[in-house]
Amino acid sequence: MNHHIEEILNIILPPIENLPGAGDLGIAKEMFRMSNEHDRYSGVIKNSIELINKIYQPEITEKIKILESNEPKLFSLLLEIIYIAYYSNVDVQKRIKWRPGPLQPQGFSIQKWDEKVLNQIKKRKEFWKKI
Amino acid sequence: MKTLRKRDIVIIGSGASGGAVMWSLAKNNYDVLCLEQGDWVDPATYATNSKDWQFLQKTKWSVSPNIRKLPVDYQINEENSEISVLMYNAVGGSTIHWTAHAPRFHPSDFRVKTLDGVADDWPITYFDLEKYYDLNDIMMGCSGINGDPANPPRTPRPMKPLPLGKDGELLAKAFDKLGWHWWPSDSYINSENYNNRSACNNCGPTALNCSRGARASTDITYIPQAQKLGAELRTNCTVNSVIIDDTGRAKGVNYFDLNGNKYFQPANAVILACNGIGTPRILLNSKPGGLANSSGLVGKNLMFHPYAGVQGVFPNLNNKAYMGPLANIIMSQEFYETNSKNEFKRGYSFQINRSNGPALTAINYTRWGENHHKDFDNRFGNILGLGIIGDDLPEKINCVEIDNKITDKFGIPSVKVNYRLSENSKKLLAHGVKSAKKLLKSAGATEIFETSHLKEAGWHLMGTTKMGNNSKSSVVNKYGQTHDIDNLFIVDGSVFVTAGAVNPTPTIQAFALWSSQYIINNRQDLKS
Repeated sequence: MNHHIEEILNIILPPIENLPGAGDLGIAKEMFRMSNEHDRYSGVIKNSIELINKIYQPEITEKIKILESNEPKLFSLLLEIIYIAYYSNVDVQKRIKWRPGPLQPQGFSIQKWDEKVLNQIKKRKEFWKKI
Repeated sequence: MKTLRKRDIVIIGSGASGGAVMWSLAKNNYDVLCLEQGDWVDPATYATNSKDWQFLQKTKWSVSPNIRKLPVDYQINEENSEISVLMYNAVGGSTIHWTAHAPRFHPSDFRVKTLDGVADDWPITYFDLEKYYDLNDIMMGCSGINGDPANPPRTPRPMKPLPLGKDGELLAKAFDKLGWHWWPSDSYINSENYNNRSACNNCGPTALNCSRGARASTDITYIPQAQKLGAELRTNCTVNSVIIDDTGRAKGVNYFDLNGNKYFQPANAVILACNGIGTPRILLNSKPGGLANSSGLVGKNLMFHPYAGVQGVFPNLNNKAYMGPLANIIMSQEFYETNSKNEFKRGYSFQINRSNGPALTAINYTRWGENHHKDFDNRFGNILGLGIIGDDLPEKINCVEIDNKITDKFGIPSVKVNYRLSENSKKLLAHGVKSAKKLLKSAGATEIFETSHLKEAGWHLMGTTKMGNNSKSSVVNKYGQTHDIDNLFIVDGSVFVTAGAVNPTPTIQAFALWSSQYIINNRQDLKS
């Protein structure tokens, strides 16, 4: 039986809360776009699916595990592009409370510098080696 | 081949050291030309301005030239190396693409033979470089605070420290609890507006690049100032060799422009500032057996910093620990110096790393399948790590050599890197991992991950044209002048005798300024 990328994605990233699995969420399109933009990922999706479909094993989850075990470099690149595409999805970002879009120009705000934090370490005598 | 107008000084490379020396010599009225193989990078195109920044971080903006594969990059044979070479080729060099840590070497780093009986002493001391460190802090813009008990007293930094944040304070308290040293990281990142550059707004992945100019890089610090002083920067110029005249002195360099046209650029002196890989590559490609290589040490003694990482999960950080510069929080030097109780010489620093964005968190810290979302929700924004940056002692077998099987787009041979971790480094990293776990447990980590040796850690490229007083056992003298050719200088990390256990860029830049001052004081003959 030949499996489609969507089916594999739904196993790797299953549904959570009100979100469907990654395949039904439609991230495959984004994965293909990215893999066409840089040769780090070129062929990774196609080769992974082909190899999975060649594995004689009824359970798709088991097939994925066999690919992971037999082709660790390829599988780790496959996971990379899956995760990048998935966590670039606006609905996923909303679930994890990550602000969509570029990091700049907004940045983030953190609490201001407070010198009191140095109170204990300031009591330590110099210990650099004098030569 | 076209011959161009002769200049006083031609500098190869516009990164950390090239930018500094370009400014210093231009300020002193030398006719300076800097040849850079890359181009200007428009900050508007930086990854942090793109919604695809997580994808770009792994591809076009990867720290590795072998992954990035931009037209300007040359591929490096790393088959025989336990650490991968990381660098960036553009105006600003690898400062385009760094975390901007600004620690200094310790005085002891310059005297390891005397103190510990390993490697060699440097022919200069910390105090020779001190005023150049200070000058560099002003030029690059250093955030930090005086009073660190692990380092010599120094002049005040131009800016207060970057804020530690809730996450930094959590670990600061843990260091205090164990009685271990820590201090806010010195950083070339603006904690306030400085020299017409904005303050950091805590977007996170500092190494990815900074489109607001809060993180210093030489394309926005030294180089524009050098240009105002009359220095010329020529981009897309790939130098393949230094040319020697009949008397054995350097008379200029040959380079290719973007279209493959060949030029000869004459000069009264040549300064190499191409990092610990690029500089030996040019010297070894310049003539059979290598230029300035009577010692046989060009390309030898390659040092990186062996690096390990231990990460803890802290659910009480409420998934927010990605806010703030990735790595510029705290530096601990509790284990910096040699301790006779340890089975290794020299030591290491701890640097604190914040959490990554969502995709990198998933890639590094989750399982796929039914456990994925549970892993992600527990760990995203809740991870703090200790990076263990170890001293690296020089060994001749760790080296850079020409690889004629790999060439760049102009047919210039690339390099093969041979590097293995020493037993000393392995023991040092193991000690660091054990200590880091102790600290993270003490801080309340609920889960701990470790990477006992990180391969993708070749940010710091040092040692391949060693400095020394003896021409038989070193390539350059204490001013970066090659022993063999009196008008050929090297000012990048290649000249380092040892590696220290901190990020080397301030020391590289201080040395470049020191070398430049030598030229200014003693080599008026290089002016036309």
